[in-house]
This record gives sequence, structure tokens and C-alpha cells, in this order.
Amino acid sequence: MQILELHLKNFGKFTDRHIYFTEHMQVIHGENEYGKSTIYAFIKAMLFGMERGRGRAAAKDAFSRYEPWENPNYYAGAMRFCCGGRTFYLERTFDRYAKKASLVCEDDGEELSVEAGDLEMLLGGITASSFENTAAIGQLTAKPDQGLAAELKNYAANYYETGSGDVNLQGALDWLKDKKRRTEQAQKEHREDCQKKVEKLRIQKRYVEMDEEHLQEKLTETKEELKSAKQKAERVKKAQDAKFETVARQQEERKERGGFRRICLVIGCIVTLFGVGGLIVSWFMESFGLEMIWGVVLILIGMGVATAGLWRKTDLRSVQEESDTKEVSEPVAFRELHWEIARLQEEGKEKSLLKRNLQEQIEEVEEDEETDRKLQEKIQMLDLAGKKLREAAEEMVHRSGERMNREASEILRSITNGRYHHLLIDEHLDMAVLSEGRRIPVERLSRGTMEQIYFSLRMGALNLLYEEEVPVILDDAFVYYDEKRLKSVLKWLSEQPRQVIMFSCQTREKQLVDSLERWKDEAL
Amino acid sequence: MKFIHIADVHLGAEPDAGSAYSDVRPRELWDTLEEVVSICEQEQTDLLLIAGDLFHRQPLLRELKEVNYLFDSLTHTKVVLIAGNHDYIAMNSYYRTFEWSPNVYPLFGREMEYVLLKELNTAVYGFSYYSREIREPKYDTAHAKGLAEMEILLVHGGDEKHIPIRRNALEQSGFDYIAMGHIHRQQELIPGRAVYAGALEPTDKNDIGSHGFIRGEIRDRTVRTQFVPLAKREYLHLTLKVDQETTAGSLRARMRQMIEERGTENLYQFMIKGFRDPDVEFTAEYLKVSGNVLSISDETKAAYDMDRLLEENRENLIGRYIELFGDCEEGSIEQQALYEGVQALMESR
Repeated sequence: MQILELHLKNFGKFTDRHIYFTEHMQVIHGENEYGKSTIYAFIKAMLFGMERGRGRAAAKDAFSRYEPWENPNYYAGAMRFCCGGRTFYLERTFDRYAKKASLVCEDDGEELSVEAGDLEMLLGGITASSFENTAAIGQLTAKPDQGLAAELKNYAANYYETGSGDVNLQGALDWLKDKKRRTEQAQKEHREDCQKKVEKLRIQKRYVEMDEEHLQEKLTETKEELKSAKQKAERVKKAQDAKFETVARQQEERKERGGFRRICLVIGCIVTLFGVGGLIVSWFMESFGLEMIWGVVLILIGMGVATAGLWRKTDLRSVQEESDTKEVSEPVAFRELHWEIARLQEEGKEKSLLKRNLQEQIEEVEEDEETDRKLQEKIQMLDLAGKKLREAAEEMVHRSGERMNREASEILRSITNGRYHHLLIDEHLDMAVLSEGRRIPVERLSRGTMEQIYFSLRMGALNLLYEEEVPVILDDAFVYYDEKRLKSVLKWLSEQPRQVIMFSCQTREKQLVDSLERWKDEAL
Repeated sequence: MKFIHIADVHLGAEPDAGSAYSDVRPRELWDTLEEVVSICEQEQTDLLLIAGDLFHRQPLLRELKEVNYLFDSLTHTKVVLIAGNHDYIAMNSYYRTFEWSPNVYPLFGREMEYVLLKELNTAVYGFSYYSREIREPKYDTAHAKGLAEMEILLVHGGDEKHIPIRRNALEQSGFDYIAMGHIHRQQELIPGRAVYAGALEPTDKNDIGSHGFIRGEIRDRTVRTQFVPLAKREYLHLTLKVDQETTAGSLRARMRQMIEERGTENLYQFMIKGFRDPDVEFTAEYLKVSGNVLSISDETKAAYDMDRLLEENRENLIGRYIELFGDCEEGSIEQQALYEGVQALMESR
């Protein structure tokens, strides 16, 4: 493919500007602010289209950046190029309302469809990003926290591992890693949720257990109470029984000596009567002497004997009455305690059932792993993707590494005039060059040489990867080259079949190319 | 003889009903049972059959009292029930000691027993679970003894761990009607004769479909049954097809509409399938349009034409990566990994 003409109808700072590519190797010379990057962006936009970004990103994207300074609603351009021996005219309008693209073959007037992918086919499958990553060569730039050698190695490693300029292995692995991290976060949150649920149930269970303990305590207490009440009753009963026994024995005795007691009473009475009689007699006989004393003595004895018999009788009755009342009241107290115990036991059983049900529920929550399992599967799946990706990359190194080494070495040899005749990249992706039989790690090389290796890799990749000879665009790529090497690299480029477009803010490229042409012409 | 057959009421369960309804759900199980009882009363149903798992776990005494109170309110209906694998008769089960209302006939024996209801001319057979699992096919030997004009068998089980059931054995058992429980989805093992009532209310998020009870009548040795939906809510598993035009916003609107159409009282699980625009991401948090959405599982794949990608990238890592997976099974982990990896590679170009 060869770009013949660019027509920047209204693009960035340019309005109706034609640029013609007449030479195989053309230098566009211009000082800073000339618009070199605008021209590069235009080529890209023509070949691959330009989408307006969405959201915040839109403010900084290419669309906004190259929006025409004048009359921004007219945002368009055209390009004439040659491909496979035929010439095409490609026209595009970029602005948001009238966006369209047309492609016409100028040889036979055939209209092709950009939407249907005709242009992509002409470009041989090269995409915007692969174009940018291989065909457009600037200076090697290092990331702020990285050395230049490390950047070069990364770059090479990616080539070797992906076999492509626009596939980014590390980026893809990071993308997967990030997704995995988010999934793990979701899993963690889910687990915490489950844990919270379990915790809530555990607390409920704990309360039930406390209730249960409380009930148990109360039960023991009540049982104790019943026991002591029973013991007390037992003791009382024993005492009573003892009393009863005595009483009974006495009763027995009384029964046995019932006659005697009665005789006692009778005798007591008789004796009293005698005493009374004696007293009366002695009253009437008016003899207040010994007889009277006898009488009093008899009365006393008689009353004493009689009272003895009567006193025993009341004692027996009181004992009986006492024991009777106790026999009625004690069973009532026992029954209430028994009820209380039964109630406590019932409640305790309820609590223990509840506790078991809660335990079951806890186990069910813990076992419910469906969501967890799904997330785990997703993590495994992402791991598998990462693993396979590395595996594929390793195979790429084995498969195309050798070819890549050969291709890049050859270019390096040409542009360094044979000083560095071999570029070596081993399977650990360590990089070195061979110079006069010595192996020199890339870290020890000069900036210029590193730039040359970078160039060799890119060109090697371009040769290997894309069938279509897309133009190579060099944007101040040779700043660090000395005169000799610049000459060699330009010479090498001029021998390549692909079109070369060079942007430069210095004049030496132009002079060298011109002299090269002259030299060529002279040679012819 | 008119009967109503219910099963798997699972009183005491706390089904996942999303953030919207999980709190009220346990109560709803009771309410629906109450409705069944009032239907029995209203229709003067002769027999209420409960084919196990009335309770989700060991019933508490107060729960039994509450259920018994409901049954006691029936002026005509007799209730026959068995214990299933969830409310199996454990050592300390209140089923062992509870005093039921006189119209309730529990068949709580470990082996087959029956109750003869003379005034209904009906004998109901059955037995209860004494453990969580019974692996013997105990219904294979069940036979109607010809004790009454109408003979009914209560069955609970039907899977490997819960009394495996042979359809043939039931067919030859001689019962007029076999009221079955345990399987939560309503279905007929032998049409019109051996019927799973299904759970009265769905109690698990996989209990999809309609739920309710069986209303039946046996007259002149012929049985007529009819499924009556009664459940307050339904679990729905819906699949959403997406294509490259679908955005998260449009998908959300579609889900809203689907829920609107099928009832906001129902409980939803969505599965998103199809090929999405690789730039679009469907996050569950954003798509969870309401509290009755239980889960959203995203099984979409970025819309990459693998054959074309392989063709275009034969020489590089993308092609090699696709080749490495070869032909993998639709829906397999490998296939998902393939799409994820390709997306990772494409996104980081």
C-alpha cells in the first residue's frame, strides 16, 4: 500500500491542504508546531476512522483534539492511495451529524463499502492499534519509573510473547487480575453477609441458651425447695410420729391402765368426797382438829389424782389436732411445687427444641454455598484464562521467537554496519546483542544502540506480521542516531519495498535522503 | 366424600424472599394454612389430608397449639396428618405427647397404620418419619386392606434418601387416592390417583411455578382432583437474552417491565444470556431494580466472532490463545475462560 495524496479538507489547524507523496521515501520537514502530529493523526483517522469518545474521556480524545479550528461542523478529509496495483479514493466526514465514509476505486469507478469492511481487507487486517504499535515509530520512551532498557525489554518481550505489536500480554493479564480482584471482593462480601446471618442466629441461640440455663437454675432451685420442704415435712412428721408414738404408747398405757386411771379418778373423787364429807362432818361435829386436816389433805389428794387423769386427756387431743392441720396443708404446697417443676421442665424442653432448630438453621446458612460456589467458579475461570494466556505466550516465544530473532538481527546488522550482528532473546526474555563474539546485555548499551534495537524489532515485526506492505511512519525516530548509523538506516529503509514517511524537525534526514537519491540516481 | 390435600407447608421456615419480603414471609406460611382451613370450613370439606412436613423443623409446643387451634375451629372437617422428614418424630418431639383436638387423627406410627373414619366410610393409611432419612422403599409393600369403601394412603418421600417410590407398586396398591408430599413441585405420579400436592407455599428459591393445594372428591370409587393455586408468591426464573445493542440501562428497563407484567409480589431470579457489546458490563448492583429480585447471574459473553478472530490472528497470541482452547463445550468453564481471555486481550490492545 502506498499513500499518494492527503487532502486535509478541514482537520485541526489545516484547511484545504494537499500533501502529495511522490517519493518512495518522503521526508516531511517542519519545525515545532508545524503540524506533524496532526498529519499523522489524519492518516490514522483516514485509514481507521475516528470515533467520538463518550463521557469524560471525550474531552481529551483525538476527535476533540483535531476538531477543526475554523468551522468545526465541517470536519473532513480525503486520501488517495494505491493498493494491489489499483488506486483508491477514500473520503471521510468526521463531524458528529454528517459522519460518513466513501471508498471508490478510481481505475474502474467501483464503489466499495467501508462499513462492510472493504477497507479493512485492503489493509490486510491491520488495526488502528497495531498500526500505531508497529508501523508508526517514534522514539523509545520509558515509563517514568522504568529504565529505558527495561522498557525495551518489555517491548521485545511483548513482541515475542504475543507475536504482535498490538497485543499487550501484560495488559491482558492485568485486566484479568483486576477482574479476579473484583470477584474476590464480591465473594468476601458475600461471605461476610453469611457470617452476619450466622452471627445473628448465634446470638439468638445464645439468648435461648441463657433462658435455658435460667430455667435450669430455677428448676434446680424449685426441686431443692421441694426437697427441703419434703425434708422439713419429714422431720415434722417424724417429730409428730414420735409424739404420736408417745401419745399412742400413753394411750396404749392408758388403755391398759384405763381401769387404773378411772379408779384413780374415782378414788380421787371418792377421796375428795371423803375429804369434803370429813370436813362437813367435822364442821357439824364442831371438832376442828386432826379430822379437818385429814379432810383437807384428802380433798387435795383426791383433786390431784382426778386432775392427773383429766390433764392427760387434753394433751392427747391437742396432739391430734396439731397433726391433723399439718396433714391438710403440706400436700397443697407440694402440689404447687410439682406444678412449677413440670412447667419449668416443659419450658426447658421448648427452649432446647428451639435451640436445636436454630443450630440447624445455622448449619443450613453455612452449607448454602450456591452463590459462593458460583463466585469461586468465576475466580477459577479467570485463573484458567490467565494460565492459558501465559501458556499461549510461552508457545509464541518458542514458535515465532526464532523467526523474530532472525529477522530483527538482520535489520540490526544492516543498520549498525555489522557491528551488532545478533540480537538474542532467550526464553526468559532476557535480551543481549552479540558484538565481535562478545555477548553484551542490553542494559550496557548506549541510548542510540537501544533505539536501533527498538527500530529493528519494530521493523522485524512489521515484516513478519503483516502481509500488506503498510507505509511506515517515522516521527523523529532518529534523533539519537549518529551520522553514520542514520545513513545506514536510511539506506536500509530505501531498499525496503514499503513506503516510508518521515517526520523530522531537523534538516539532516532530508539532506541525507536527497543525497541517497542522488547516489542512487548516479548508480543507475 | 370431599377432601383437600396439602403437603409441605413448612411452618417455621424462613424462606429467602429478597430484601422486600423476607421479613413477612414466615408469617405468610401460617396465613395460607389458615386460608386452607377456612376453605375447608366454608366448603364443609370432609377430610383434610396433610402429607408430611407441616413444620419445617421440630415443632415447638406453642406452634402445635396454634395449629391445633386452627384444626379445632373446624366444625365438620376431619384432619389426618403424618410427620415428614423435616418434622420427623425426634426423641423429644412434642408430636409424641401432644393432645390433639378430637377431629385430628395423626398417623404417627413408625410402621404403616390406619384410621378408620366410619362416618365418612373412609380409611386413611400412613406412617411417619422417625429420622431425617429413610432409604428403604417402604411404600412398595403398602396395600389397601379393604376396610372401608374408600381407602386413602398418605405418602411422604420419593427420592433416594426419602423413601424411594416405585410407580408400579403404588399403582397396584389398591388405594383410591394417594396423597403425596415431599416433592415441592405439584405433579401427578399416577394421573388422578397418586398426586403430589406440591408445597402449599414455595419455601425455597428453586420452588418455581404455581403453588397451592389439591381439591378432590371420591364418589362411586372414582376420584376427581383439581389443583387450586393459593400461594401468595411465586418464584420465577427468567432468562434475558441480550445482543450487542443491549445496554445496562435498556436491560434494567426490560427487567422492570417483566416484573411489572408478572407481578411485583413475586420473587425473581434473572439469568442474562447472549452476546453483549464487549464494552458493556452488567453489574448486579445496578440491575437489582427492586427488593424482590433475589439474584442476577450474568452468563453473557462478549460478542467476539471467535472463528474470525482466529483467522485474523493466526500468527499472534490471540490466535494461539483461541487455538489452545480448541472446541469447548457450550457453557463450560473453559468456554467462559476463552471469552474472558479474549476480552482481556482485546481490551488491552
